[in-house]
Amino acid sequence: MEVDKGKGEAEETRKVAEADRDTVTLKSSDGKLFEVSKEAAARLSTVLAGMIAGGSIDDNGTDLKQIGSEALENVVDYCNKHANSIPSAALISSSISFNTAPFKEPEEWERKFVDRLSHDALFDLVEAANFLGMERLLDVTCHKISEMMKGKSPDQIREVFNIKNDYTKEELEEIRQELAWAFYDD
Amino acid sequence: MMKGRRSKRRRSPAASFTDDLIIEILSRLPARSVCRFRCVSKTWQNLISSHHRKLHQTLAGFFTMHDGERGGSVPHFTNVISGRGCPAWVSSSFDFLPNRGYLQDCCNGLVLLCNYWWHSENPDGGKCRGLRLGFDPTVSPHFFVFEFFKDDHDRYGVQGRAHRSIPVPDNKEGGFIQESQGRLHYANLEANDDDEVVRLVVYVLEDDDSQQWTLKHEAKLFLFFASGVLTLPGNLSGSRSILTVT
Repeated sequence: MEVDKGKGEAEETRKVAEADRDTVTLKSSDGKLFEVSKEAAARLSTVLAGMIAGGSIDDNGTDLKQIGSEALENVVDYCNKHANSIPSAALISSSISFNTAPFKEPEEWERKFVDRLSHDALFDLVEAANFLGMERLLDVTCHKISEMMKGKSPDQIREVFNIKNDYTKEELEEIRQELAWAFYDD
Repeated sequence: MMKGRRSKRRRSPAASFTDDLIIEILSRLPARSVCRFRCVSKTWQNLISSHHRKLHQTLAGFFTMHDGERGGSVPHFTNVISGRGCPAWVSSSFDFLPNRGYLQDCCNGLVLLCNYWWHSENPDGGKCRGLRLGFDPTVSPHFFVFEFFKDDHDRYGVQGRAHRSIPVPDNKEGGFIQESQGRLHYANLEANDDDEVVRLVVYVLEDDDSQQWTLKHEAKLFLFFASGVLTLPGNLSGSRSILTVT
């Protein structure tokens, strides 16, 4: 009884300590740890907001098995840069709502933030943003990817996205003829 | 182990994108790009086809005709979708097109414009008619244009190699035929014994084989205040049936 009580107290103390901290520790799929402002994380990510509210944040590093260290570093970097910036609707909306709010153009620093990334890093980041329910970061990264796709040919898209062409030569010729108009410049 | 994972990641960093994420990206592209990317793979083709409503520049609504400033009638488009996937309609009077003509018809994502001009190269002169067809590329690039004609026996049919003539329900002049909700509809005005126009009737051809028209709606004409030219606007989403009198 005594031992159990002790355990319970320790648990209680740990929870209180956790609630008092103003950062949360996130752990990437390859085991690297990152600290991020709790306020920014809760404001920008619906998933992290849910985890913080539900008490499922691990003091020793909350496991984010789906996100690699490079992408998580970018996520944390984005959160920190955003920490003192415009308020987000992330806390208000409980889940990612596609195509509901009008898209606000990326701000200068957001544009610079994604411009410096390689294709692979950008793709990893958009997946991380999607997974964490970071509506604004998802907007900014999707916008960047769509800018990059504009004016590209299907061949170039296959190369960038590593997509296998599963059309036969005849099928491709047929669909190309139907969509001939779409091959003029955007 | 680590090396293997890295090389796998390098081979396809975007391969694990969910369908929603791909659509989220494509929804930010202009319609022309989205259509071109149907050629990327069958997976993308199916994805674009099945999510076309979420993609850019998809509209759903109906046209109504209004008096134009310089006479004639001008189409006005009423959009029934709101949200980011649907930007403000550029100009429903099609004034961005040279020699745009007038709105002849629209249905299932197709818009048909028609104009007439005098053929100057023809020594005898002669009226020519030009048709322009606009289509919603995110729905389908397949279309077939036909025109109803009236034969000597007051029957309507379709010009073309394969067609059938189906008598109209009231055997009267001036009726209007249009497809709505996948069924052929016929609308006309009915007169009383004193030859005063009193009623609007709308018939539907429930079963193509039986050639039997069923009376679907009728309305006393005083409900309408207009001149009596009927338009059954085809609608871009093809899911509603709206009748307007202009």
